[in-house]
Amino acid sequence: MQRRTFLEWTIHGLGALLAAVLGIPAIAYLIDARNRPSRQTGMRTVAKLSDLEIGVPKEIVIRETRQDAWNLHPDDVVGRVWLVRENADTVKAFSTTCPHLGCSIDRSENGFLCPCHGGRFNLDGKRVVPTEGNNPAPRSMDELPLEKGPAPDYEIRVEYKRFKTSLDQPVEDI
Amino acid sequence: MFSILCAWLDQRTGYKKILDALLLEHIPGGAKWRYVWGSCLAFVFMLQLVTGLLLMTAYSPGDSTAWGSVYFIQYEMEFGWLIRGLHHFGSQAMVVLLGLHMLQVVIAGAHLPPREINWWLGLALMGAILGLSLTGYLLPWDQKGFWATQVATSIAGNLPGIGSFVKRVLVGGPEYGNHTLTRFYALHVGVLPPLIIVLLVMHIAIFRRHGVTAPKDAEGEVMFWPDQAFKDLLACLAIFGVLLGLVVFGGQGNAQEHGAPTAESSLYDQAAYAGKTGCGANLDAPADPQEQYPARPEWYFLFLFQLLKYFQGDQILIGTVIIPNGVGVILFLLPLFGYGKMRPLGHLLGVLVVVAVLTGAASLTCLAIADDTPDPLARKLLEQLAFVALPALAGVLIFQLGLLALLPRGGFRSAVFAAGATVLAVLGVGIGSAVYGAVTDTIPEQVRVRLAEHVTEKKDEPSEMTKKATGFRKQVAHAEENAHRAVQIAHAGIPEGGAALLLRRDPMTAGKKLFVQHCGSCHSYQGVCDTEPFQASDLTNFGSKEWIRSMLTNAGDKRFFGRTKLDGMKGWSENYQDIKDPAQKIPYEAWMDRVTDWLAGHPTGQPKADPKTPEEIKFKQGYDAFFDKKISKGRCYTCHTYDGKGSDKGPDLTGYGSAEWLRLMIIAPAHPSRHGKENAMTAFRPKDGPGAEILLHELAVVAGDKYSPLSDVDRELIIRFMLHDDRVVFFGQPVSGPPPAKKQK
Repeated sequence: MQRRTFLEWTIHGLGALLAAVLGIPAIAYLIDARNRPSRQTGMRTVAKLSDLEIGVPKEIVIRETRQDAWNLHPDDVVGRVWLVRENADTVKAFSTTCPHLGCSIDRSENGFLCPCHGGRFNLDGKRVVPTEGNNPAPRSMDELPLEKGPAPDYEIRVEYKRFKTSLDQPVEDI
Repeated sequence: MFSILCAWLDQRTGYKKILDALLLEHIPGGAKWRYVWGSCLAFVFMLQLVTGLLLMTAYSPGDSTAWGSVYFIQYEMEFGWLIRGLHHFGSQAMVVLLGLHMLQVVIAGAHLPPREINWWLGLALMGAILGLSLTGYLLPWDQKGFWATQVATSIAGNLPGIGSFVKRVLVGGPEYGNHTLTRFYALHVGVLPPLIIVLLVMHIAIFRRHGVTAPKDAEGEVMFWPDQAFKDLLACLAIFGVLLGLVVFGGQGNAQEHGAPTAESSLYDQAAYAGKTGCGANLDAPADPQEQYPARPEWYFLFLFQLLKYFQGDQILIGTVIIPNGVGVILFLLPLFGYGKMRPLGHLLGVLVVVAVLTGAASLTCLAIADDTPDPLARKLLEQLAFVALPALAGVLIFQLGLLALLPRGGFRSAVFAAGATVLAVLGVGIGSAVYGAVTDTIPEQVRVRLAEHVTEKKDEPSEMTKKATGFRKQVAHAEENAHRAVQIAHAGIPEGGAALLLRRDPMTAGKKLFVQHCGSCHSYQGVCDTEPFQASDLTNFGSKEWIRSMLTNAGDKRFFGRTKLDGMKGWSENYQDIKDPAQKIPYEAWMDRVTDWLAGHPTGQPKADPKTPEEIKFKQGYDAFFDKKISKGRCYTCHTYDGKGSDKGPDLTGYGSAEWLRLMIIAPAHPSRHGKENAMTAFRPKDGPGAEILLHELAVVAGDKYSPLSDVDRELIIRFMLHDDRVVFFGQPVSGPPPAKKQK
């Protein structure tokens, strides 16, 4: 092998080695977010049954311990839910996140309305089937798991979850 | 295939021509190792750009976020320690390489016409790089950078006339804060690097115009590619190797006691999280203006720091402005001495000035280190290095360079070169190891004996210098302790108020101090407050099994109620001590053990009717022992309450020794469910804040005006310190008042 060729190949080889020693850790560092733990979810007490009026949705803030990279927020808002007391006994909880594109769903006269693109839902969270115009919501509001505690308080406990938007069926977004 | 692709690309871009223009540089006299320094600097600068950009993806400039984000990079992100370590040591390598590059340039006479402009560009580059070092040092917002940078901005503030204005603009306000960081950050990433890139392009372009400064009698010629490129690359790799070595083995970080990878962890984890074992750059405790700190600049600015010491009062400007800028002006003027027949003079002057400046800086650095060294022998050694060894090194270098300049090419000249290089290397290594020995207290015995002859200071009569340096070392040790502690507790998460709260709300740091301040004048605590006299119990391990058990048998001891007027338990213990018959004592002690075990677990609530697990059974046994009527000499419940049952003559023992129990004890010692009005302890309560007024009024009604102010956070810190609970107090729900005093039956 000629001296010149040897030098050239050595330069390329050593350069590649250097790039690898620096590049592989750099990539691992850049995709480090994959190691951040997902949100811890669990049943949280959010209200008492007596706080809720039949047929009047109530918006409740969900607080949880939140780890944001280096910061720990012991009591931080992670989301909101609509609680709907359908009758004396049953309560349902819906995520306020619109299944269309993730805006925040608001009350309307006789149900719910998303202010961004006009997604409409009934008081029971069901997607309104439009008689005129259209309803961009692909599915009904996302119902969250709910438990009712024992008498006398009947504490309402809800597990907060996030769902992917724009799909016909709710798929949890982890 | 590859060549077809290259040809396709070349046809459309003409890249080969550009590459050729870059790489086909003529090097008269052949490739040489001495030409590598410039390439090395460019390489390390590139490394800084890459690692810096990576750091930018995770760094957050802000008073309450900077330290946390750097902590996160260093300890929690994969290979963050490596990226940050390379950036940290890379910056130091740049400073060293700058010195070497400059020396090589003047030795070659490359500062002389027609290369003046390149010399000036080089000086501008040096200034910009030192600016990067200065601004970068502050960014982690740790104690070290915070205090060291204060010195630099104070110097700017002392400029006559415009000082206050300049400082305020630089700092972004009257005090260090968010805008200091955003400004330094903008300078560090947005202003100086682009400036350096522009200057560097010009520097290299002009260099290419004039070519390397080869000796006049150089023979032959090679091209930059691949001969010189190969040498440059090897030198760059060597530097990279040294940097990597420093990052991995430099051991500047603080190891984390929990969560660090162990020998059982996978090899990948051991590498990715080596920062947790102490690899990489140091991260000091979070910046906190309320903490003392022995401020020193980074080592390569120590010479400027030392210079300040010689000029005080009105003369300070001589050290801060006149000398440094004067040296800058002299360096700037150097090429002008190279015109026409002055050229040999200009060459000589260049070498003399640069060698003198570098030697002066090195000597001042040694003296600065000497001033901080408590060992008089090590101090002497460093002073000798500064005044003898370093000037000698410079002298040998100048002498050798002069000899080489005068001698004609040939065997003798080569021999002089080799001999001189050897002497320089030996001297250099000698000085390096001497500094290392002096700094790490590892001076060999033979050297110590020789040094002792020159030192008059006696061990039992330390000089002012020794006292000062000892004080400095003590402060450094304290700062290192804080840094270590901060890194341990940051793993659980940092309060959003900022990392400074970590130590301010660490029970083991702040809680301990608060205990001494508020409790220590009456209560003793082993190793924390030991100085008599005390008026109340010893609180070391309060509420533990050992504490309770000893108290039961000997409550009148000064460790327990001996120093107080509370004598209920004293009589109880005396009853026990009066039992002379060992046969009677044994069941009595077994009973005491059951009660002790139960109480030490801070019991609350009722036992299960049908206990199954060992814990449940033990709980029931303890509960039954508490309410045992068969104990003739003092049943518990005739004085104490548990869960609403019993008598309130003595303190309520529900949750005895728990945080909850202590909280009420501290805010209302005279509460019927604590020691009652017999107690001498004052109530500790928040003086201000929501509801404090009402609570203080309520307290005044119950216990008179006997209270001391103590905030909620401070109280929780003391409680956690006493319970050895080392979690940082985040403080979500404030607990300010006692429960209403219920009449107990």
